Amino acid sequence: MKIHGLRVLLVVLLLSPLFLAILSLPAPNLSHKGDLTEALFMSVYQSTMSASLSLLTGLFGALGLCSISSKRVLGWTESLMMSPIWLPSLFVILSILNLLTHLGRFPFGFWGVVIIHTSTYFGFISVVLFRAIQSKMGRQLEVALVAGASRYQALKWIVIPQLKIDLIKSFCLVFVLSLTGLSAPLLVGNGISVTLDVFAYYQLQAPGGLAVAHGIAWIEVVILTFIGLYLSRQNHPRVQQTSHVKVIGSRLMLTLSIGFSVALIATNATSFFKGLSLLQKHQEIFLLLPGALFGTFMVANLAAGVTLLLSLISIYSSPHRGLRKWILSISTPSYVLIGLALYYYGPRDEVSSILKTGVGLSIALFPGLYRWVLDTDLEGLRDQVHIARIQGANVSQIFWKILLPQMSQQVGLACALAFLWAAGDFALSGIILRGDQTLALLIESLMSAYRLELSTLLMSLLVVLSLVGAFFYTSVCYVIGRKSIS
Amino acid sequence: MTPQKLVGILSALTVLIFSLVFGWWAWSSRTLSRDRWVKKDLIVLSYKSFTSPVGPGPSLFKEFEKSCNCKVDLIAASDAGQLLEKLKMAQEKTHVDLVIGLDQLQLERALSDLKWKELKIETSGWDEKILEFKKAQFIPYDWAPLSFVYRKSHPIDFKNPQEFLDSKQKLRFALQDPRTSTPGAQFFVALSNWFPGQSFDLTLDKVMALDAQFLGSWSASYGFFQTRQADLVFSYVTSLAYHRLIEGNDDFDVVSFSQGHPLQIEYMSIPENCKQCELAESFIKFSLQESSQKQIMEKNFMYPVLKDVVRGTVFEDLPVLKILSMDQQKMSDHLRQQNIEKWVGKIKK
Repeated sequence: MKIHGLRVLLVVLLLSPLFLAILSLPAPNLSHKGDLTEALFMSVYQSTMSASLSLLTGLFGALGLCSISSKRVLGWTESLMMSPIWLPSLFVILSILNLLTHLGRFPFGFWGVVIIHTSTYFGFISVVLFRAIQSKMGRQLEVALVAGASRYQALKWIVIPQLKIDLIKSFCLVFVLSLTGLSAPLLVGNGISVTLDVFAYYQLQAPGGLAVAHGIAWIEVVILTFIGLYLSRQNHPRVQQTSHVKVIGSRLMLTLSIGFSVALIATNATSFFKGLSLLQKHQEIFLLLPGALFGTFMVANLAAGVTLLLSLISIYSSPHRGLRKWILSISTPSYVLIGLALYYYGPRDEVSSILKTGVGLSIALFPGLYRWVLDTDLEGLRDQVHIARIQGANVSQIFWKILLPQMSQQVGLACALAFLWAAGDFALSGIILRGDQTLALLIESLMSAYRLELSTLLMSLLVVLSLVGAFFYTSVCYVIGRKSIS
Repeated sequence: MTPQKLVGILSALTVLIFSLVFGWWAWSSRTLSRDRWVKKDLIVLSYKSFTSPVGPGPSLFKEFEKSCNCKVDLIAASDAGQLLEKLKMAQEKTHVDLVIGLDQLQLERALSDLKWKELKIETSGWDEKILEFKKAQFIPYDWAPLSFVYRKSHPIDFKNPQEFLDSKQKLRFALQDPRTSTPGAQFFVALSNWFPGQSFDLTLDKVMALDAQFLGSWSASYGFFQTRQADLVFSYVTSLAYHRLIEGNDDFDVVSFSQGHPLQIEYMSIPENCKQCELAESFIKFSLQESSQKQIMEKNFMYPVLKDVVRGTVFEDLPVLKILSMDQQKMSDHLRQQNIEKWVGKIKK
């Protein structure tokens, strides 16, 4: 009964944004059929292109990562390449534009959005694919190359076929992120790239727009659920081993990937130093910083804490085929819908707003984190749990002795990612919180009031804070894992 | 230590931290007098730039709270363009006493969709240019003309609207999407005034032939300009004040057309169903005092409505542009929407 109760709790928690949206927002309105069809087509076309290019560049990036042998260097390189996905979008977009305009005129419009998405997600996809190559290829790569296969042959006959599911999953990941992304089409779409979210944004300024935005959010939920259902069928457990993948590594790809990521950050160096010089004229920032840091600390820790709780519940309640399939197929609606639902539901004082933001973010992030971080490893433990059950172990023993020790690092990673994304979030926090309650919102406020350089400076502080928090959660979960074994 | 214990300790620590935070809040509130709890709440709806920590809102609200024995509760909309819709939504659950940030392009819809209180405000000492834009229900609190801002180190070759469209110089413009940005909508108002004898379609064709990007918000377009992604940006004349005052940079200038420039005026207004109506009116009067106007000018980087406030400041030395009269700027919502639809039709091609 206890375990069933936990499963129901998990389901209710994850569905709560949808219930709240129905309760607190006006009934969905889908009357603009012509415009909506056009926006839907644009969203799907653009997301498909973004996902395809991200996958291609991500695969090259993964080959680059394969050429690194030092674990420490690998860790730093992975963090560097993933940095664009959790930095504020305006910041990343301006960096990419600054960088790419050196190569020629930036193609604003449809292709501009695709380039921004690809530049933002290729690093993350590189890391996802690299991890898959490392854990799935076994010794086959070494054997094939010793037997005289060329790198191209190894890629064609071993890597690509075995990565098929990971490639599909990565494609879907970028597709979903591009589909629900608002910043890039709004900033560089040049008015042409009207995706579903951009259309919803336009409608929010018109009479009855919230009902239209609500309707659009449900269209997205339906699309994402279909993708989730498809993905839930495309899975097989990861082999728990790491192989020497250096044999297919490409130093050229590594240099290009690192070069691009470093250049992206370096373009902001001038702004950083200009921000430092502006600090003396903005002494009020020092008064605002403690509050903003406290807000960030609370929101990010709440998000990571609730993610920890949800992860532990999902691990404790597993293996359960139905629950797993359900979590894999469920998709949370866009941040805008969750934000509006939470904003209009219940009290709006400062404490409630922070609580709503932290919990809302973790609920929004959890299905994705489960799919990309927890699921494969949890599935890999199914046989062990089965054997333990046959031998008479109870649910509690299975959790403490089998599941938690082996899943602790993945849980730590999920919490760390939740912390990173929550600390840098603008979308959901921007709807629920006031403009100065977190560091990310303070940065956004500064950006909208001429102070681009100062916001670059605070961004560095946010990066440091986020990394410290992420390190804390990975360390705690690592310790829990080690303690369980000893 | 067993993992059970470790998880238990971590959970206990989390509960302890939250208990300490909530306990501290409760402890710090214990000495507050009963009056603290019966203070009146002035519910204000405004947009992000005004309420941002570097904007004028926080300091104005703080000073007002000192004198009114009231608490200002803020509802913030992300853009000024969303104020009316946010107001309608907010009014379903609660009431709003004061709206800060509507501009003149939103007034027609504001008047048709909602009811507003008529206000009697003393206008002596106001800038004459603003007087004709004052309405019985909407009180201006700041304003600024709009034009193209550029760098003197990257001079431009046009001096009038026709030369702007026919310019041979390779210039990159950062403009705003008129559907989401007020300056973007003002640019369209300017276009219809700059080329009165020419069909709007033709004007748009020429604008579309320029190397111009239509960005979703003013801040994004200004960010483009600041990072040299654009040579010119359609912005406020008072943007120059930011560069001169904060950065000490005099390299920026604005284009001046003898045909005139559009003006953005921001208003404060009180919805008819307000609860703290007198308090809201007191705030409007407070924000029109000299010291408040100075804060609005220096933090919002807009001209104050009180003429003398700019004296001796960097705002006094800003270029003076000819302004389009109210009649010239007057354009029905319907006509403006038609022009925007024409533009949408062209960008889709």
